[in-house]
Amino acid sequence: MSALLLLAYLFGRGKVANLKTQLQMSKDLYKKEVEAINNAAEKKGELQSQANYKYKKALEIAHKTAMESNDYAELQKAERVRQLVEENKENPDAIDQILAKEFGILVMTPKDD
Amino acid sequence: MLLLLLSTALAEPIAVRLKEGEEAPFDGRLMNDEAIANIIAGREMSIEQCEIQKELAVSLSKAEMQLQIDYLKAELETEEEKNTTLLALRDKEIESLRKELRPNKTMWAFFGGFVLATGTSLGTYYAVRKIDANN
Repeated sequence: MSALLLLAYLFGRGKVANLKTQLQMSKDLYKKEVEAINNAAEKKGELQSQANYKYKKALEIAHKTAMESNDYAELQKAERVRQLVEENKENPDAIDQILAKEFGILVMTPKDD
Repeated sequence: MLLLLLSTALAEPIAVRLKEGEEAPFDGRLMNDEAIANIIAGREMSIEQCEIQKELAVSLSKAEMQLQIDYLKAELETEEEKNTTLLALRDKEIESLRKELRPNKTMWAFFGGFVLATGTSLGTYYAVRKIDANN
C-alpha cells in the first residue's frame, strides 16, 4: 500500500513539476509577446512622427515656394507695366493692338469717330 | 428706343485715344496709360499665377499622399517585425513544450525496477513457501 502511495506521489510530483514548468513558460512567452507588441507600437509611433515631420516640412516648402513665385510674379508684373507704359510713349499702336487682341477692345482715335 | 437699347446691348467694346483736354465722344471710363498697362500685365500674369496655384496644389497633394504612404510603410514594417518576433517566440515555445512532453525515461526505469523487484520478491516468497510445503 505504501509502495503504491509512493508511486502515486512520485508520478504526481513529476506531473506537477511539468505543469509548473509549462506555466512558467507560458508566462515568459506572454511577457515576451507583450514586449514585442509594445516595441512594435513604439516603433510605429516613432516612424509616424517622422512622417508627420516630413509632411510639415513639405507643406512649408510648398507654401514658401508659392509665396516666392508670387512675389516674383508681382515683380515681373510691375516690370511689365513699366515696359508697357514706356512702349506706349514710343508706339501707342502697340498697346491698342494688345487691347484688341487680348480683350477685344477696338481703340479708335476721335477722327475715326 | 428699342433699337437704341439693342444697339447699346450689342455694342462692341471700344476705346478712344484722347489727349488731355479733348472731349470724350461717349460715356464711359477714362483710364490713364498706367491703368491700361496694369490691366494688360495682369492678364498676362494670370497664366503664371494659375501655374503657381497649380504647382502649389500639386505639391500639397503629393505631400498628403507621401504622408499616407509613410504611414502605411510604418505600419507594414512594424507589423512584419512584430509578427516575425511573435512567430519565433511561438516556435520556441512549441519546441520547448515538445521537449517537456517527451516520456520521462528515469521514471520508467524506476517503475520497471520496482515491478521487477516486487516480482522477484513475490516469486522468492512463493518458491520458499512451496519448498516448505513439499518438506
